[in-house]
This record gives sequence, C-alpha cells and structure tokens, in this order.
Amino acid sequence: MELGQVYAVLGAAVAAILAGIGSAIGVSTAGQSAAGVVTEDPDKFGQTLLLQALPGTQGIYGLLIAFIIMGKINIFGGMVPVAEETGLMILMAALPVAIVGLLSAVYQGRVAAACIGIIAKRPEELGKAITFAVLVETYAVLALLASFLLVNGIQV
Amino acid sequence: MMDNTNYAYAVSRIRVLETRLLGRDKIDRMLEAANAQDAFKVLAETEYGTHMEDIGEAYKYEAVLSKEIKRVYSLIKSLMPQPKIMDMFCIKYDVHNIKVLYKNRFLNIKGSLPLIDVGSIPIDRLTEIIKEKNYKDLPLPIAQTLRKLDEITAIRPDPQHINLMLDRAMFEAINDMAARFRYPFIKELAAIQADVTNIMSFLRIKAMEGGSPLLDKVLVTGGKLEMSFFTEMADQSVDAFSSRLEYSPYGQLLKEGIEHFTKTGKLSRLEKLADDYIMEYLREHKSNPLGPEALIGYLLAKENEIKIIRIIMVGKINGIKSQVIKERLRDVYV
Amino acid sequence: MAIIDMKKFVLIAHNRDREMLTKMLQRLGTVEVDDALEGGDPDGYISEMLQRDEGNLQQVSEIEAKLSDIKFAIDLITKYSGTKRGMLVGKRRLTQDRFMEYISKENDCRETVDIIKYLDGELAELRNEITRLNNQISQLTPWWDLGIPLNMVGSTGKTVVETGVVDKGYLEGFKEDIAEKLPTAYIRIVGHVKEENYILLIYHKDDASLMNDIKKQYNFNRQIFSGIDTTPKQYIQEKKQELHRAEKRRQEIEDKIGGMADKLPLLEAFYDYLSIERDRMQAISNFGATKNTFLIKGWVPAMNTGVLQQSIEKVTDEYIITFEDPGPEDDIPVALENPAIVKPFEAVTDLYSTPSPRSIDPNVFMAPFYFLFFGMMVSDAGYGIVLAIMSAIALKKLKAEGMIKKLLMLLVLGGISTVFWGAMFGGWFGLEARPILFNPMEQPIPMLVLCFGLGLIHIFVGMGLQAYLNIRQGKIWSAIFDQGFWYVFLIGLILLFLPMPAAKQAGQVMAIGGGIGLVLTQGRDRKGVVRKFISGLMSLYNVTGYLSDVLSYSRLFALGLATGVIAMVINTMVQLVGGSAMGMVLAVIVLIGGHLFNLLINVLGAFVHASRLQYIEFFGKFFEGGGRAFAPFKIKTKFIQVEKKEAI
Repeated sequence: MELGQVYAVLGAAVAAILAGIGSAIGVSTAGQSAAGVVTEDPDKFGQTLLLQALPGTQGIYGLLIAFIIMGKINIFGGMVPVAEETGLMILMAALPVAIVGLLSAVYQGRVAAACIGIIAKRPEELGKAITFAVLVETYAVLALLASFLLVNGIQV
Repeated sequence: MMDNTNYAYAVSRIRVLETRLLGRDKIDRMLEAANAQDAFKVLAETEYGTHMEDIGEAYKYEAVLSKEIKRVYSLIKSLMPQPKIMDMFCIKYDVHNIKVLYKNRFLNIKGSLPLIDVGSIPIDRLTEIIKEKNYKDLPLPIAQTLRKLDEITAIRPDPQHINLMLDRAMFEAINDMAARFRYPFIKELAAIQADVTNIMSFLRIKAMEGGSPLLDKVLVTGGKLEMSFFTEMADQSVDAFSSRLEYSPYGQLLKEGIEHFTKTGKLSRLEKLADDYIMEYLREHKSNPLGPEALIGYLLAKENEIKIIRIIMVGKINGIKSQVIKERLRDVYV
Repeated sequence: MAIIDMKKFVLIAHNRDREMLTKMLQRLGTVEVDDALEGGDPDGYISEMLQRDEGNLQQVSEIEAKLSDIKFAIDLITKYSGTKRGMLVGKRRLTQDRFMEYISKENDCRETVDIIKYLDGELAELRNEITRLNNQISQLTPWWDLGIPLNMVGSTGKTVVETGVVDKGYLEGFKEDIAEKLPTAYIRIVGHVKEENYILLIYHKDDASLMNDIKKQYNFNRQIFSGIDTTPKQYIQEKKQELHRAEKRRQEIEDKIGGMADKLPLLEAFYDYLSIERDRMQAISNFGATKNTFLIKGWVPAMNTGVLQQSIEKVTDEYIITFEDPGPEDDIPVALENPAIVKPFEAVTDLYSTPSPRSIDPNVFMAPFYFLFFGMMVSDAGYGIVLAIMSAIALKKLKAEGMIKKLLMLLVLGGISTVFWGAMFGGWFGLEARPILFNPMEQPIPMLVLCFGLGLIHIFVGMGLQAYLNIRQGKIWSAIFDQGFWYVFLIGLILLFLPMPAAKQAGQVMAIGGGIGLVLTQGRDRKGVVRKFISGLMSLYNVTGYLSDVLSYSRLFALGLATGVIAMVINTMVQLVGGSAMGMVLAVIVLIGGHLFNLLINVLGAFVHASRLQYIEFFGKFFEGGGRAFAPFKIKTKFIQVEKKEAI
C-alpha cells in the first residue's frame, strides 16, 4: 500500500462523507418542517416532499466525485499505483464538493424549511418556493463541477 | 444556544394553524348574526367547533373559550422545543390564580373559584402551596412577595395592594426568565411588555385625580424606559410625556393614542395601539423558520382572537346592536 | 401572439331573460363576470340606478348549506363503505339522460342526506354510551371478587359495611392497626390495581369513631356505589353485555351507512348540480339590477365576441351589448393560447407567475430551451424511454386535467428529449454506448462549451424579447442602448477568446465599441454629465452578472453527470453482488430499484433546475409577471362529467 493510494481513498471518502452529512442534516431540517405541515394538512404531502428532497442532491454529488476517484485509482480491479503528490492532489480536488456540499446542503435545508412555510399558507406559490431553495444549490453544482474538472484533469 | 433544528417541525405546524385563525369574514359574520345563537354557530365551523359538541347554548361561550385557551396552551407547550419559554407566558395565569387563592384566604369562599387552569403550576398544587404558605416552588420574586404580603396582610388585607405587588413580582419573574434564555427576541418582547404596562399605568394614574402617590407602587421593572423616567414625568402634562417619548419606539402609538385620550378621556384606543405594537413586533419576527417566534406569535394572536370573540359574544347576548359592538371592536381590532 | 386579446363588454337585457341568459353564459364558459357595481361610472352608465340583487346572496348561502350537508353525507358513506377515491381518479362520466334522471330525484337525495344525518347522530350517541359503559366497567373491575350486592354497602342496624381504597404503602399498617385495636372488625382485600388496594370493611357501629381515626391515619378513601343492587361481578357482566350490544349496534349502523354506497352517484350528481347553481347565483350577485333590466360587466376574449353575440341572439333579441378595448387602467385578465406542443410548458410558467397582460407570453420561446435542458440534465436514453412511457401511461390512465395533465405531458416530452441527449452522449442505463456527439465524461471541456453556448443563446433570446417589448412600446432607443449595445459588447468579448486572429480583431472592435456605447448611454436618466458618465462606467460592471448567468448553465453538465455516474455505480454494484442464486435475486432488486430511484431523483432535479434556468436566467431578462388569470364563468364540477352540457 502506498501513501498516494491512501490519500486518494481519503479524498473519495471525504467527498462522500461531508456532502452526505450535509444532505442528511438539510433533508432532516426540511423534513421536520414538512412533517409539521402534513400533521395539520395531509393534502400537502406531495408539495412538501418536493421541497424536502432538494437538499438531498449534495450527497449525490459527493458520491459522484467519490465514484470518479474510485474509477481513477481502479479500486474495483486492483488498485493502480498512485504517487504521493498525485494522491494529495486527488484529495484536494475532492474538497470543493465535500465542503461546499456540506454547508450548502445544511443551508439549503433551512431555506427549504422556510419555503415549506410558504406552502403551508400559499400552496399555489410552489414555483417561487422551489426557486428560493434551488438558488442555494447552484454553489454545490459549481463545486461539483470544480471537483470533477480537477479530478478529471489529474493524470494517474 | 437555541437548538434550532427542533423548531422546524413546530414552526411549520404553526404556519398551517395560522391559516385557521378567524379571518375578517368570520368575525364579520359573527357581528352580523341575528342573535347570540347564530353568532355562536359561526364558531362551530372553526377550530372552536371541537369544544362545542356538548356545549350547545350560546351563553355558555365562556366554557368554549376557556377550553380553547387550554387547548392552545397545551398544544404550544407540547410543540415548543424549549418548554421553559412557555413559563414566561403561562405566568400571567399563575399570578391570576395566586391572586384569587390568596385573597380567598380572607374571604373564605367555599366552592369553585374563578381559576384558570392554564398556568405552569396545576391548580391543585397551587391551592396547596397557598394554603400551606409553602412558597419555595414558586418563582423567587413571587415567593418573596407572598412572604412579604403574609407579614403585612396578617393585619389588614388590601386587595388592590395584593394585586399591585403580585403584578410587579410577575414582571420581575418574567425578566429573570427572559434573561436566562439569552435570546434577543424574548428579552426584547419582555422589555416591550414591561414598557407598555408602565406606559398604561402611568396614563391611568394621570387620568385619576391625585393618583400620583400610587405611581411608585405600580411601575414594573424590566422595561427599556427607566422607572425613574416615569417618576420624573409624574408632575408633567400628558402631552409633555408624549413628546419626551416622540423619538422612542413608542412615539407613534403614544401620539395617536393620547390624541384620542385627550379628546374622549378613554384609554381604550391606546390599549389597542399598544396591543398592535406588540403584534407588529411579533409579525416582524415570526418569519424565522427555526425559532420560537412563530409559536409565541401564534399564542398571542390566539389570545387576541379570544378577546375579540368575548367582546362579540357579550354584546350579542346582551342584545347590543352590531354597530355598537363594531365600534367597540374597532378600538380593539381594526 | 400568445396572450389572448380581451375585450370589455357590457350587456343589458330584460329581467325576464336573466335566467336563460345566465345559464347560456355558464354553458358557453367564455366570459368573466366582474362586479357591475364596482369601479364607478367611467363608461357613462348610470351607476346610481343600479342595485345589487341581494336575494341571490341569500340563495347562495342556502345552497352552500345544502352542499355542505351533501358533502358530509358523501364523506361519511365513503368512509364506511371502504370505497377509495384517490385524488388522481378521474370524474365519473354520466350521460345527459342519466344526469337528468338523477337531478329529478331531489327528494331521494334529501331523504338520503336526512337518513345519514340521523344515523350519524345515533352513532355519536352510541359512541358516548360506549365510553360511559367502558368507564363503569373499569371502575368496578377491581371489585370483581366482592361477592356481595353493592346496595348492602352502608350501615345496617348495628354494623357498618364499607368499601374503600388504601395505598400499598399504608396497607400493612392499616391491617395491623385494625387487628390490634379492633379485633372484631372484618377486613378483606378484594383486589388491587397497581399501588391501590381495594378493601371491604365490616365493623360494629360503636367502633365507628375509632375506625375513623385509623382510616384517616392510613388515608382510607371511601368509595360509594349508589343505585346498583347486584354484585360487582353481575354488574360488570351486565354492562359487558350492554357494551356488546352497543358495539354491535354501532357496527350495524356503520354497515348501514356503508351500504348506502349505491346512493353515491346520486349524491355526487346532486352536489355538482347544486354547485353549478351556486356559481350561477354568485355570478348574478355581481350583476347590476334596475327594476326591469339587468347589466353584466365583464371580459370576453376578442375572438369570441361573435360567438357570444350569436349565443345571446338564440335566447333573446331584446338586448344591448357593447365591446370595448381595455384602457390603461384596466386590470385585464390573462388567458394564453399556445399550440398543443407548447401547452405543457405553460405549467412551468404557471408555477412561477401568470404573465402581466401588457407583457408577452414567454411559453413559446421558453419551450424549446426547457425541452433541451431537461433532456441534457437527465441525459440517459434508457431513462428517457422509461420516463416517456410511464408518463404516457399515467396520462392515459388518470384522465388528468389542468395542471396535472400539463405536467405529465411535460414529462413525456422531457423523456423524448432525454432519449435524444442520451443517444448524443452515449448513455443507456449507465452503460456506455458509442456516443453520436461525444462522451462528456471523457471530454468535459467541449461539454462545458456546449452548455455555455446554449446558455448564451438562451440569454440572448431573453434580451431579444426585452428589445421587442421596448420597441412595441415605442422605446426604440432603449432597445438599441440597453439591449443592442450589450449584444455588441458581449459578442465582442466572446470573440476575444476565440483562437482565430480575425475573430480576435473583430472582437476587439465590437467590445470597445459596445463598451463605449454603454458608458455613454447607461447613465442617461442621471442628472449632470459627471453622474451620467460614472453610472455609465459602473454599468459595465454588469458584465459579471452576464458571466454568472452563463456559468449557471454548467449545471446542465453537472446534473447530467450525476445521472450517468450514479447509473454506473448501480451497474457496478449489480456486478459485484451477482453470482450465486441469492446474489442474482439481490442483483435484480438492486438493478431495478436503483435505476428507478436514480431516475426519480434526477427527473426531480432536472425539472427543478430546468425551471430555475427559465425563472432566473431567462425570465429575469424580460418577463413581467403578476397577471391575473382569466377565470371564466363556466360549469365547474367536482365529481361528475356530463357528456353533453346542454342538460344544465
């Protein structure tokens, strides 16, 4: 086992872990809000579910980068050797999606919770509510792209 | 320090419940109803309906209202992630009950007393506490006041004095609680309530001939306006008082309320404006999806609503014309 | 183009034709009725003469009461008959004859409602009784073994028979004290529940005071039973029988209510019939009335004025109708008209806001972009096929209407677009086929260029629409300064980045020219030369806004990437678990479940993000919302659909 490989695996793990934690927190905040609305008004299940799902994507982005890194070091078919610097670079490349994913999901969860409040009162404004929540996600998307381009550009 | 995520569920439940507060149309329908029974029927279509299955007669509206206030308090208590916050709002019922029970020591009425079972201390327990003079479970300022009262009133109880002392103690207790939460919204709300209470007492005493000596006894602590400010203003005119506060947050409500007061001699308008001021403060803050603001806002909105219903029902039962009730409501609710 | 021109109309006719005319208008369903008494007297009609027909409001509330009764009956029958009626189930279809038959049975309907109300009252009583019986039983259950009739409890000539409760902690002391001080007394523990012990005491009357002291000391809580002359055991058995009977009766009533399910079609038909009548009464309450005539003010699509007039002719020839173009003050209702292929995309705009009547309908311009973007973000041809087929089936099965229909159609189209892009990029259920265009995973830079290119076109179309709006309002200079110069400037900047020297040169000229134009014109509403210049210069900073708009389209790539990579993960997992028989089963579950999950999540993502690109990047350039949707006075039903509308 080389240190480079360890760094690369750490990169994959960090991307999946941090972004995943963020999504879990975000979805749970929004979910509690949704549960509050549905307790009083069960008809709003569909609309609130839509909003609750939004902070979940960051976890998927994290997994995506993790998977690309796994593919890069060929983890399923006997690992390729990774130089120490290359491994570190892969770890760094995973950071954008990991950190931005974590924070943006947490905050998107809060916005989604507030937007579920909109649905409680004005279900016809679903479009606006979704827009508010989706604006937060833009930065996770950009981070995903940054991580992807970085990982993709690193030659193993 | 607030564990905010717990609030998400509670707040969004409240958001739905807010839509079920009585709207303009329901209140108008109650006002326009031909008689008390019809007005009461309008209530049956609302959240109040659940308490009305076995309470058919309009004159029993009080029972419905008290069930509703109990339901709302226990709902908010169960929803509030920090139930201790609720003590700040329950305490007014506790103090009401303490007053009744304490005075009954001297009146010795047997049978049911006008107690409200919404407070943070169950009525049985409170009855015991007052009977046994064992005040240690009460908030400190209230316990101290009761002990002090025990010394004085052993000789000659003065009901007004008991009321004033306990009100004061209540505000002290609220301050203590608010300070413990270190949450700006709650501290500010407590301060506003104390200020409003002081302003109202000040003007009430002004309206009374020779009331000024009373002032020291009625002022409560915890407001943003110093108590010394009020004592300083004691000898000055109402207008001077209002202009001194012109640039305070209360400037606008004082200007309008005092205008009405000097014209009619009634403080009802100012009272309504003060209520509005508090409601407005709550409205500004209730958008926070992860804090207690919306819950407290709903609680006080509900209390306000019950106030309105009471005015309408009293009016309808006594056969007062809807125009007159409306007039009366306009002071309370526009 | 696509916002339908509206005309204001005023119709005056005789009161005797009111009923027929109103019915006709409701069937026609193409006019919106406004409050005739509102909005003063700008048209020269003598509004003081007009009055509101209050009688109709009275009728409205009477009908409302009937409606809520029928609704209650429908709900109760549905509850106890176990018939499920989902939100997405279509309306019951009725022929005209059938409908007429139903509404002729008003008595039957009223009777059914009365029966249901009566039965519900009985149910409530039974529920109370059951609670009461349960209470009585649970109160007496601890005394089950008492063995003596309860009317014997109390004082007889010389003895006292008493029942009561003592807490566990006091029990031993209580017994000992009695044994010591009152050896003649009889004490028996009949039963206990948790900490409470239920006790029978028999003692001589003379010992009463001594006994009282002991009872007080040990907190003996006396229990008194009045009006029961049997033993607890008999009593409980009796009550249990009563309970059984009550529960049986309740079941019977519930079955009876449930058994009335055959009345549902009647009730539902009647509900709709009455709600149509209510709508009509409500409309009439908006009419202005004089002694012999009535006046309707409202809106009608310009293209339907002819049909409206013809339809009125059929009812009466004594009428006056005038049509008028809306003035600048009017709150014009907005109805959109689009070709069938664009219709589904109206859902996206509807979710955001109805366009302002003085703006343009964005749907026709938005549709192709939405179509392309949605597919790029899902970007797996296999998923596209599944999505299109599933949505088409749902569309057919549910017979959905309105918003749901539009959304399902949108998904069908989205699925088709997904197949297209999936083929372009070579993604088929996460398996890599030969791409027609290129594989974005391997060539991310061309993919990004594609995204930004599409984004630029999208943004430029949005700017073009604003330019068109400016020109339509006669603000030609605004169009040149605010959109024209930006076009020149932005295109110049893009050319600068191209590798061809000729393009670079052209770009330089355009960027500088456009930039100068912007600096000179963007501050034109400021006062003073210096201020004009400074705000013109500052306006160049807006280029960052355009930059971030364009970068935002990178999500087309990122979301497509997410679908593809997760699909590959699922396939890899399937390969890992495959092998043994158990593994095969697991593999199938993972394969189907995983891909369905991925499809769902990504369709949601694509829908949401494709909408966002319209709302923020596209609509932000030109769209003006806040319009009021045209709400024509028409036949609206909740439960049924009548094949021919003439019946009503």
